[in-house]
Amino acid sequence: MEFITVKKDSNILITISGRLDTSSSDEFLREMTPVLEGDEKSVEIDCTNLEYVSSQGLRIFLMLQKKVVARQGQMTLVNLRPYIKEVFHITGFTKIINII
Amino acid sequence: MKPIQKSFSTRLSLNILLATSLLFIVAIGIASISSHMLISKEAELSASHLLDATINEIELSMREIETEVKGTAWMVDEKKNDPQAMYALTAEAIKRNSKIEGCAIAFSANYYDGHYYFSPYSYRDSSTGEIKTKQLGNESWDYFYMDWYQIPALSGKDGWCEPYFDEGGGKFYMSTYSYPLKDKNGKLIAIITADVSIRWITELLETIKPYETSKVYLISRSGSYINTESDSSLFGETIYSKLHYIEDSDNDIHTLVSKMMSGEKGMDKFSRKNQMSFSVFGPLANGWILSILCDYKSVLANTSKMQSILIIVGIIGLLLIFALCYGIVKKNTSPLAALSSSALRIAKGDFDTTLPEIESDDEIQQLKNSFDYMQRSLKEYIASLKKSTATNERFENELSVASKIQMSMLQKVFPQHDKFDLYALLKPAKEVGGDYYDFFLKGNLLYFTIGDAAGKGIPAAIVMAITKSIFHFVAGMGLSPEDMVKKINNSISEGNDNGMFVTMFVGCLNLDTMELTYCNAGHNPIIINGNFLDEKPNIACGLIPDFDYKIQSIQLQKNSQLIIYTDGVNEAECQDGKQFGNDRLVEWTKQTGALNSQQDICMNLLYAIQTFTQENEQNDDITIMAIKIK
Amino acid sequence: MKKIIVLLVAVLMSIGANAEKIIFMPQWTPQAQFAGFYVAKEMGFYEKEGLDIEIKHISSGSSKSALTELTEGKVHILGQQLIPTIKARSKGIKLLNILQITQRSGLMCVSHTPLSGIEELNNMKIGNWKANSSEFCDIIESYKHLNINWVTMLNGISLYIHKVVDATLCFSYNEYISLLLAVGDIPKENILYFYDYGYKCPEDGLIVMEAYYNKNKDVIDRFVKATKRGWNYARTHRHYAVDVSMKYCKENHIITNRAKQEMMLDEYLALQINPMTGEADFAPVDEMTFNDIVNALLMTNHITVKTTYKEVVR
Repeated sequence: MEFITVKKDSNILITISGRLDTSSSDEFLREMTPVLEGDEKSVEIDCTNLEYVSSQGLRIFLMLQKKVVARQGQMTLVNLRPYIKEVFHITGFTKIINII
Repeated sequence: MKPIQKSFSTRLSLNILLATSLLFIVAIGIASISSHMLISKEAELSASHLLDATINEIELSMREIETEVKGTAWMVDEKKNDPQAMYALTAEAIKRNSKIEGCAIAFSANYYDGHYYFSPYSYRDSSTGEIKTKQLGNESWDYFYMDWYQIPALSGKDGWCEPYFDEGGGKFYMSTYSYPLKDKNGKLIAIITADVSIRWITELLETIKPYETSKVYLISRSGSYINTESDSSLFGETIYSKLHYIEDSDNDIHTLVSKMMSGEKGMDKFSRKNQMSFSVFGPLANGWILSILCDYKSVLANTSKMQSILIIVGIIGLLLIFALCYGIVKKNTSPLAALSSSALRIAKGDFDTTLPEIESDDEIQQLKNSFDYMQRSLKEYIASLKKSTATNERFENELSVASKIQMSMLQKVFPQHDKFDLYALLKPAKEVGGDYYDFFLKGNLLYFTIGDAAGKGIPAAIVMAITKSIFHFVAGMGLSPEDMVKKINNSISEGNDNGMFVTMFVGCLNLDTMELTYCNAGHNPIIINGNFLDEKPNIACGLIPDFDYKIQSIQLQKNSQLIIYTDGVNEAECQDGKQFGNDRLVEWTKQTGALNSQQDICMNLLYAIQTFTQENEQNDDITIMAIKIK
Repeated sequence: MKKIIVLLVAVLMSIGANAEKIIFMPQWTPQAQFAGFYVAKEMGFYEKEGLDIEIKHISSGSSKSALTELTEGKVHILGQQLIPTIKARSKGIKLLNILQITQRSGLMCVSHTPLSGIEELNNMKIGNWKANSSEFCDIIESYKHLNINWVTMLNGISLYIHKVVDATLCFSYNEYISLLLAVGDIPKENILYFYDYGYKCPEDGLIVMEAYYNKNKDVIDRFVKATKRGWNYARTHRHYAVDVSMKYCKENHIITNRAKQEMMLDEYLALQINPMTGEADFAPVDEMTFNDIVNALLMTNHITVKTTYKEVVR
């Protein structure tokens, strides 16, 4: 699991690669803590190399979404693999999170 | 036997004590040898001076007597024509010199014609002190053969006779001085004599002893001891009769005696019965020998006493040095001992032990600093180790509690019903416990559900607990699945800051009509007779409060086979990352015809998944529920 | 057992009580020269022979000679040298030699200078006792054709010590020892034993009056027997013999010392060895030696009447 965070003004680009399963989601949550507590208005998460996402992983996306929305920002997930997108679809996350 | 362990300070102090003792012994030795030599020399010298002085004193008195006799002889020569005048001369000699006890003028045989013997004689009466006069000499007192007459008569020289013990008179040694008076032709006229008690000599000798144990010997020309008053064992002995009992091996003594008796003056040392002594000796003018004998033990008695005091003082000093050394060394090494005991405490686990204060700035200080660093490092390491251990424990504990809650919520007893068969199984992943299944039979309605709570541990367990209670409550009231999902959604959404959510499928089968009404909240679609059921995805519960979940329905036929599952099934992965997948799952359900019971179906699917994943670790709970319409 | 002892003691006591007192007089004041007699008395040898012996020493103050004491019967047995015995017999005093104690002469000469032979004595000034030895001097002089300047002396050693004589006559067991103890050492070459030069006359013997002998033959035999036993005991118990001698000296106020008595005893016991047999056998003087001495005395006019061996020796 790898996370790369690039910050520019109030925009932030996060690149996730590898498997976001239960064990790595804790690490993901830690990495995201500055973002959760920060003030970036635009949060973009590149999921090109995201191989797997567990329900725990989804939970973190959900937490990020809530925080960003709370500060009138916007979070976007880009370049999801089809089967990942399917998970988002099934669970109904596509209704909450902006996925392109 | 365990050897006695001596402390470092004891050992060092003992070594110092040993070294100092050696020096002390050497110093004492040198001091005592040199002082012994000095004092011995001094004693020998002073004894020799004493001897000279004594000889002088005795000779002086003897010379007075000799002078007196010679004076008398001169008078005899003057008055030789008047034999009767001789008596007065003898008496006058006694009067003039108190040391003279008797005086004789012994004329040679027939000096006066017709008088073979003629020897006027005066003597001091031993009892009254009165001077008495008489003529000595007759056939039974044949004085011509007596030593005092014969020897000077033969030699022509004056001299002192061998002392003799006067048994009749004063019980003292007497000696006679004889002077031969000769005429112009050298012919003997008379022998003039003075009898002298030599008591005054022996008394004098008593006073000159340099030491209590010293011995003074006056020895006559024939070797006899003269002053036997002080030592009666010498009475009748001669120096050679004493020597007779001294072994020839005692060479020193034999040499000394022969030197002494040859009339030499000198000093000699000798050893007898392990006692070293020295003797100063010298001859008197009359041939007698005077000797003073001192043993070195007496000579050195005072030095020996001094030496003993010195040794005692020395020993006390050495003990003080030992104590001092011990104290100093102990004081200097006590930080080491303290450090050592601190180190021991640390080793036993007491990391808060305070290290002793070291005041000195030296190697011990450096050692203490090293100890200090070690202690801190250990303390930090142990603290972090403890912390991580505690965390792990708590974590594992929590997981196991959650897992227990999860498993206790599951129904293990499945209903036996003439219209349907139902079986379910849940195989939890190692750490995660978020899956849940349940069913409830209410009249002709069979409620069943399967869910997957996000997350793990207690929060997931709580979510499941809520879900289960609502499921049972709603099912008990015979309400529709959508109401059930909505209620669950609202319960979880309420104050849900952690992003908790649960995906679930809730179905309600009317056993009379075989119509299945269902609501899917973000869950995997179920499979009916080998096809995915058309489901509106809706949304997982807990995400959006008051979400309007849509209910759907489908008419089931006899022998309809339902497979309800969680994402642990289709997302099960093999080693190379490939998922079991929906296609494989659907393919598998098409081959279930041969399987008799719903249990077999569940077990078989689990087996198929495990065959696929091989050794790869299960990363999510696997839950499978199978229902068949009869 | 007890009874036997009591009986024995009673018998011994009765013998003692019945025994006649016999007075023996040695020829000089107490010294180890008479140790054998002292031992015989102290050990009870005389008593065991049934004899009651009194040892009565001559006293220096006495005006009477020992021989007079014997002739007067005040003394029964007397110690005396052989020459005076022969001389007395020649004068008609009927006495008998009952025991010859010494077997050879202890007469010697001690000089200040070395003596290579008896001729060296010629013209020497030699100390000689005032009493009883002029016979010997004359014999030696006439026999060896010597001319000696004899100096009569009372005291045995002082003339020698004060060097007013060249040499002095000595008995090897007495004066010679006194001299040794006075001057320490005398070179061996300075001394001369007359025995070595043919003077065979033995000295000390015991004499009794012939009349007494005839009457008390048995008593004298027993006395001689006990005396021999005493000497033999002294020879084998020298320390004890010296102890006893010292005791007699002390009792008689003789000023002496143990070394002297010890040396004296040794020498005197040596003189008792018979040169012919090599043993202390108390052999009587042989007749030839006896006759030689009588002849020498006749020649030097010390006796005028010839005395026969049989008259004197029993």
